[in-house]
Amino acid sequence: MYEKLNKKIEELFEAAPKTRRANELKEELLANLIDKYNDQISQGRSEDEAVSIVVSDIGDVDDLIKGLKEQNVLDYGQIQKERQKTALVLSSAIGIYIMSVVVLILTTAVFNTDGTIGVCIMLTMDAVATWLIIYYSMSRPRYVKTEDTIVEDFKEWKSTSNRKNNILKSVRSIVWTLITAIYLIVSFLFGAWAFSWIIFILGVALERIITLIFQLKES
Amino acid sequence: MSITSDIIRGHTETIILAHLEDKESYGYEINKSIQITTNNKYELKEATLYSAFRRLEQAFFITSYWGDETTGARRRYYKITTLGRAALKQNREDWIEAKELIDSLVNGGNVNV
Repeated sequence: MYEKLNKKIEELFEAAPKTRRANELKEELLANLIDKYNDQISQGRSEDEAVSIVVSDIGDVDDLIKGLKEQNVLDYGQIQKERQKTALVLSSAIGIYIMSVVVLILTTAVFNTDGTIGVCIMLTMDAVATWLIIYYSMSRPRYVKTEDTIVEDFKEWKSTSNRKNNILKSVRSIVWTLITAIYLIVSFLFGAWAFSWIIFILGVALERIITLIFQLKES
Repeated sequence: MSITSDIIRGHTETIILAHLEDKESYGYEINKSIQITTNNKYELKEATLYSAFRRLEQAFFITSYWGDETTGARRRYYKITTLGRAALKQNREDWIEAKELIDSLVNGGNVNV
């Protein structure tokens, strides 16, 4: 009789993708149906009656199959692509950061030019790299809820709060890049190495202020 | 009965969370308990039950693991998370609020009909 139930499940899930998740769902469902079947038998129903009751109580599995398919697409297609894109953007940005230092060393040590030019080129490259990371993290799709349930509301809320954090992180990294730029430019141009470190202390204060503005805005 | 089941269906997730509040459980046990609690008046379709499990899992309200049954098919057990408990508390408050509102609306202002 269990074989009959198993066959019925296979029939119902014929359109489902052949994934590990789908197999697990079928196994779980089978365990459930067997329990239910045994209960019906112990209540004095005939085997055929029990099977037909159990099968008719399963209901419409279209949504379950749809869920398996969606996750399938997300799992192996989209997420994979998304990951590759993230890796590409991040590694190019890091590459630019490293190259900018190489440029600085080349211009000062090899071509014997004034340090200012090298620093300017380096910071421009750093700005491009930072822009790349920020633009990418902000233009990524956010979670849009598909159903009007609490669970979906929660997921949307989680996604937006993640985005807020990302924006704050980006702003912070811009601020620190700018502070470093100002520090180096001031120091090189005026030779004020003895005092220019104070810029970093001002930078910390500036960062606190920005964080505070963000928090006040949220509440 | 059709309006009743429509209303209950909207609370499937809360009902499942409530059943997992005190102990870990599996699909059939939860459904059986729903049946007993409602005096055989209500029972979830398996499709509805497992769709709700997946949604709750995706929202980290519950976690699941396979049992170690040696005979027959394995059972998948579900366990409520701290987040799930918070959601359950919130849903209970929401339900009480909704119930009072609907009571006052359908009874024309007289709650004690």
